[in-house]
Amino acid sequence: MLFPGKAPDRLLIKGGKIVNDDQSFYADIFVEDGLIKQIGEDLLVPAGVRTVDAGGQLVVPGGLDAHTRLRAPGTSPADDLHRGTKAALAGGTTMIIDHVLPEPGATLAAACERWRDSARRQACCDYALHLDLPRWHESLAEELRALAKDKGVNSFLVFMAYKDKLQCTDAQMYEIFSIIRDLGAIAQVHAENGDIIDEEQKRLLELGITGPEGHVLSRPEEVEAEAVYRAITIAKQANCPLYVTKIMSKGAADVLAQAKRKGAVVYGEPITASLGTDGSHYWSKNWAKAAAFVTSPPISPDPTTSDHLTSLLACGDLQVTGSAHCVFTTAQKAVGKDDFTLIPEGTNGIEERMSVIWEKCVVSGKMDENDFVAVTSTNAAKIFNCYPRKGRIAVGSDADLVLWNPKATKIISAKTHNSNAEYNIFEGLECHGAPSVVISQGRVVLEEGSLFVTPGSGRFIPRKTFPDFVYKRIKARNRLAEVHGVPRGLYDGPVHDAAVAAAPRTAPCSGKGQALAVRNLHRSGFSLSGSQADDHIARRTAQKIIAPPGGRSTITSLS
Amino acid sequence: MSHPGIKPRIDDRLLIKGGRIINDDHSFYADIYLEDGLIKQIGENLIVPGGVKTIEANGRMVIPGGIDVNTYLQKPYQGMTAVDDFYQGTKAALAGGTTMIIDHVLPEPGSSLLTSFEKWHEAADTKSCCDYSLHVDITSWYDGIREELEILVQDKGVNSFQVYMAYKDLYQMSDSQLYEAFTFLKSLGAVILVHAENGDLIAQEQKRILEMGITGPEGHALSRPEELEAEAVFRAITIASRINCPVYITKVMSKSAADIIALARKKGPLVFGEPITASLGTDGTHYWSKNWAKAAAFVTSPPLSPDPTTPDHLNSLLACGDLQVTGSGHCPYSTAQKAIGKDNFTMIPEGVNGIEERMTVVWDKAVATGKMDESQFVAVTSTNAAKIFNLYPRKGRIAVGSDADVVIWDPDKVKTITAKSHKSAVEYNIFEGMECHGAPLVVISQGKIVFEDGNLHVNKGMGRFIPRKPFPEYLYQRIKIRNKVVGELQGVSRGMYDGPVYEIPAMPKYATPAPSTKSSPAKNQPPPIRNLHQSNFSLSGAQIDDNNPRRTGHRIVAPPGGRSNITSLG
Repeated sequence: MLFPGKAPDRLLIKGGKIVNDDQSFYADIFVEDGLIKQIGEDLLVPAGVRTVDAGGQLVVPGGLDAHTRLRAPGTSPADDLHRGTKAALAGGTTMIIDHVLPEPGATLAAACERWRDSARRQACCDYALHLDLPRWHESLAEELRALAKDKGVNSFLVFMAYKDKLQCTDAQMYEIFSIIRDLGAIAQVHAENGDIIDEEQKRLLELGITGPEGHVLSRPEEVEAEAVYRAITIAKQANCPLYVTKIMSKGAADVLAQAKRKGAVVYGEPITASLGTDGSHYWSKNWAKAAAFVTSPPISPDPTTSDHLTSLLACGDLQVTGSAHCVFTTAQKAVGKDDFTLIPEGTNGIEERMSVIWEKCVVSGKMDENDFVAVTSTNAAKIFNCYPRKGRIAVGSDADLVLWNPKATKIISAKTHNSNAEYNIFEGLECHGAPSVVISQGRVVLEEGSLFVTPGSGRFIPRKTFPDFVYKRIKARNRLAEVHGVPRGLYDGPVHDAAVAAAPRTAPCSGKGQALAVRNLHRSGFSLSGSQADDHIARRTAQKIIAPPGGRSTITSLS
Repeated sequence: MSHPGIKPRIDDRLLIKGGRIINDDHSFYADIYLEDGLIKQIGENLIVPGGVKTIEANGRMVIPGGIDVNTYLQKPYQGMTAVDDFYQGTKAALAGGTTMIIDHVLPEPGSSLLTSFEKWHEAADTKSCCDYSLHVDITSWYDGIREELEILVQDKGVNSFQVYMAYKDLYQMSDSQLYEAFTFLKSLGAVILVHAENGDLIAQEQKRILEMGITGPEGHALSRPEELEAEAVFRAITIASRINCPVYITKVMSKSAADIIALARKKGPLVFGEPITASLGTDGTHYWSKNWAKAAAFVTSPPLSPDPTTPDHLNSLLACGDLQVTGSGHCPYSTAQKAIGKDNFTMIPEGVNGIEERMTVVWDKAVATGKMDESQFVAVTSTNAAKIFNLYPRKGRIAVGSDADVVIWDPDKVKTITAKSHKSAVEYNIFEGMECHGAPLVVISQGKIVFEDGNLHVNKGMGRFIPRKPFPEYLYQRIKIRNKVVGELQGVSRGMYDGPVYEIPAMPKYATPAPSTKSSPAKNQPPPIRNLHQSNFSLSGAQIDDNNPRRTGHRIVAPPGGRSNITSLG
């Protein structure tokens, strides 16, 4: 039995089946100083090393939860970075990437700093940060550059929903995506059409629907699918890799899958909630229970959604899983008891993620254990550029390991979960497969159902820009994307006189493209040929030009 | 008649003998007797007054005159208008077998719809040679527009309105405005037309491409890739399906946009797509022509797709019913006019020809290739448009009582399209050199022969305005049923939540405090009945921890919603 603080830095895991995303094999693992030092059989290890007997269980890379919200401006979530990471470890997740939502007025860098301050005291597992961009402003490019270069933050989220609050216009998204592409970062998007939602919310409230069912009625899945389609279009125009957070509906997932088929560099992240349950609970007679499911995009009321999403996850159309863990107590949710638009949004899932995916995907035969590792850990590590430090069991990788017991049976319940929330949206779900031992930074943090965590032991994992997994293709496409104009002689035929009204149209396109010195040479060439007889006739509607006006003016005629 | 060679004061009676009548549902051999601009009799051995002028059709096809649903014969651009006005344009229409057009009224942003409508109405009344109707484009969503729309629908015979998703800072509407406009137009029973392109992204791309030094017409196509068209189509359909209103996409120019429409139709929304002559007959490779004037002649929005397989694809979808209607988007500008944009493609006035070529191009690409039969040809060139825009069966069908707009069609006639012989005033024809099978032999408009042996016999101003009623059955029958099926949404009747409520700190959930109250109007919040419950709760006394705003570790054994069922009160 181990005790926190007394944990030795060395550990031998014997007799496990190592599962990576590409292969599985039986071998022992020797861990020292938080790193995997040796993998193999009959390892030579110092005497007296603590040995964990895996007894044939699977040894998988610790889970990487690509989406959590354990801190927020305003109403603080009920699970803070301490509570949340503890729950994460209990479920086999050894690293999280938390979303930083800057409070109004704060600079982005200051917001990240504040987050890290809290995490320094509270986080029990390694973490990294995504940054949410609450609004577009002039100096955004510089701020993002500083963060990506010096602060190890290389993924930025824009919102297409939350009208008049966080929502970006298409033009802003294009600009932001262009900046992100140049930085080599990942563009994330919260995809829902905020304009339509706003109108639907008004309509529903006018109909007198104020309960949590209004939340899902005002955010139908078409609205999610539409935004996904638009985000992909914009990203494709900007040649920027795109990561769609929280895929909650079949419609959205299908749009994404189709776009991949057409070559878009896009990743989709279903979350525990969309994989493990459905949105029929919004109609629960129990207000508090219904409110516990409120998150955006909402969990789809279509009960076949989870089956569809797990299938897409298995075939690679969706790649990454998060939890979007952000729980509020019933009292906090009750702020919106008379108006569903005021219910704080967020569901649990950080602890349940690995078990739910195992149950829905592996136990059902949709994916094998290697796929399981890919979608719970490896893919996220690759996309967010912490591979192979995270997401793989290999010599030199961080010693974040999970002994997975596929024979364990666990019933998810609020009575036993590690979160502070009174409700668990997966209440009663029976999962086959659970972590039996969890090792974070080479230390055993979960064993025999007991957690040994130290707040503040989690480290910030800085991430570099230009992840190969994503940017190799982007770079190649950038080279291909060069477009060239047609070299043609200047048009020197008659021009309709529209000088009067020309002014307003020049506004949208900057003058830059026009004032090319080279072109003026041609133009002077034209004036030498003398003015035309009909120059003063503005419009000649019925005139038929036999030698087309553009015909003689090719550039070759000048040489 | 203005033309010298024609018999003056021809009477209004006409007999077409021995033709094969083609409607969209079936075809049969019969004679047709026309009088007073109407079809009076159909059958064999008709009893007609003596001395009636007779046309021997000799077994040729007799089809309903074409309806061109998209023309811009008076589109203003920087103080000038397109070279084909209502006179020139409708002449070209008749020469091609089209006996009715629906022209777009394009008000300058800020000017009233009604005034613009009257302006168009007057111009068309004095110039048009064939019957016409008018769409009104909504170029801005201003105060008082609802009243004007109502007047247009109730009194002016306009039942279709176009909104724009492109032309940023000019015509473009935000999604919220689209939602509002769609909702209102649905309540009027109108047909909602959408110009679908993502204007925000186009503006960005235009900037980028000009900065790269690309100023020629190829920049037009490069800055408006087909993905942006498809995206906007997707969005328009999403909004329309939320509101349960029909939506009609004008100018379907690319495969991806057409595919989105086809896919959406399979899922239920009432969507209609209108490819135009240009997208069915040619492609956008010409934007790269070395001849600036030729390249510029192709400039229209959405642009012609540079993908040369586009026309084939669109014709296939037209044949299978995924697309339903054809227009021309006819709005040609002379080369001198186009040359306003010689140094900057964004200034090139937009519009291509196609009013005269439409029927022939569809026949050649779709019927002569075996994709569709004659009846389908009639459907996509005339009948479907008449149904959607509520002109049916007055237009779009050969039946007793229908208008005598009839075309005798020769499927074997081969014609090479060229600017040298076309009726338009424009110097370039974007279909130049295309050899087409199928052409009209005789065109009859309002019971009069207006085109015969290659000669036009028309009078300026002889076309009538055809008013159209709202709520076309073809669209709104289904909408009405769906409204009933969906019914009024109902909330869950549950007891009031009477558990603890967290005190919101000074700063609410996200960003600024204002919007949350904005998005939920105050009227929803304090219904008096609710307050009874709330007072009920306070009776149970203050909680010990009332002043403790956050109780993270507190586990409530009996869930707070559990005991609060409304039945416990009764």
